[in-house]
Amino acid sequence: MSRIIDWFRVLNLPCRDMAALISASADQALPPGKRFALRLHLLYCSACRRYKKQLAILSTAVSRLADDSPIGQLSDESRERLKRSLDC
Amino acid sequence: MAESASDRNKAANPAEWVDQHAEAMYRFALLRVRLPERAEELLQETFAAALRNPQSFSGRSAERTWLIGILKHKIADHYRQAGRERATQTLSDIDALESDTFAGNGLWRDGPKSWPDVDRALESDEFRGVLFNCLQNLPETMADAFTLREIEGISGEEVCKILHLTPTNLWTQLHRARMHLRRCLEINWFGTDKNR
Repeated sequence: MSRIIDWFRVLNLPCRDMAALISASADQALPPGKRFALRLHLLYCSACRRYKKQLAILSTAVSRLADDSPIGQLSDESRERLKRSLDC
Repeated sequence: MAESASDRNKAANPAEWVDQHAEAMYRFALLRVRLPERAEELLQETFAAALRNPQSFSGRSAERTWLIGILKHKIADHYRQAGRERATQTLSDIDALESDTFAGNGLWRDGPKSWPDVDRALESDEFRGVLFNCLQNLPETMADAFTLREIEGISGEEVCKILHLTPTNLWTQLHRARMHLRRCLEINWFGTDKNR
């Protein structure tokens, strides 16, 4: 009986918990009950669908940061300090 | 093919390291540790280690590959040390953004806004700058966990070991990091006219 209650509870998790499951599903395989509940939820909740899509965009964007992005430049002072540290 | 002596001599050339490799190494470190001063320190430590141990340069790989290899070790040490130092901290149960985003009943207050022109954003250097800024503004543990997972592609289990986190704590950190970054992009890019 308690398993059925658990099952029912997972199926009725609100968006806040579904958002956590969406994140978790990017890192690990969810247990079958939660996986099913999330799938079902995404069928009718367009806000969570959009959230999931945007996390995927975030992930793509972050992996592209590693491809030689101009995220910051070595200042002239740092450059000088590094050169001095090599003079020995 | 046998290495010639001249290849070896061409190899480790410390006088040229800063001009030839420092910029790329700096960006590599900065993305991973986020603080400019820390990134510079890591470069110094890397050069010092390389000077102490020039024979570890085989001449087979490019000099930069060798230096970045040393830098990666230094960055790994940095994460481990940060993890140890923070090991005693407890994760707060409440995240302000979470209660801003969801109502008491757990439903979205406004829900995520539609993001126009994603493809153009992904190609834009300015967008990458905004994203990196968002990452820099995250709390340290959150940013480290997210970086190790999403940039380095390290498994959750391994990230827990490096940062001294329990699995539950890690999933929470990653969830919050993603929620904050998504929101930060929405505010600072997609919701502005920068993306037009």
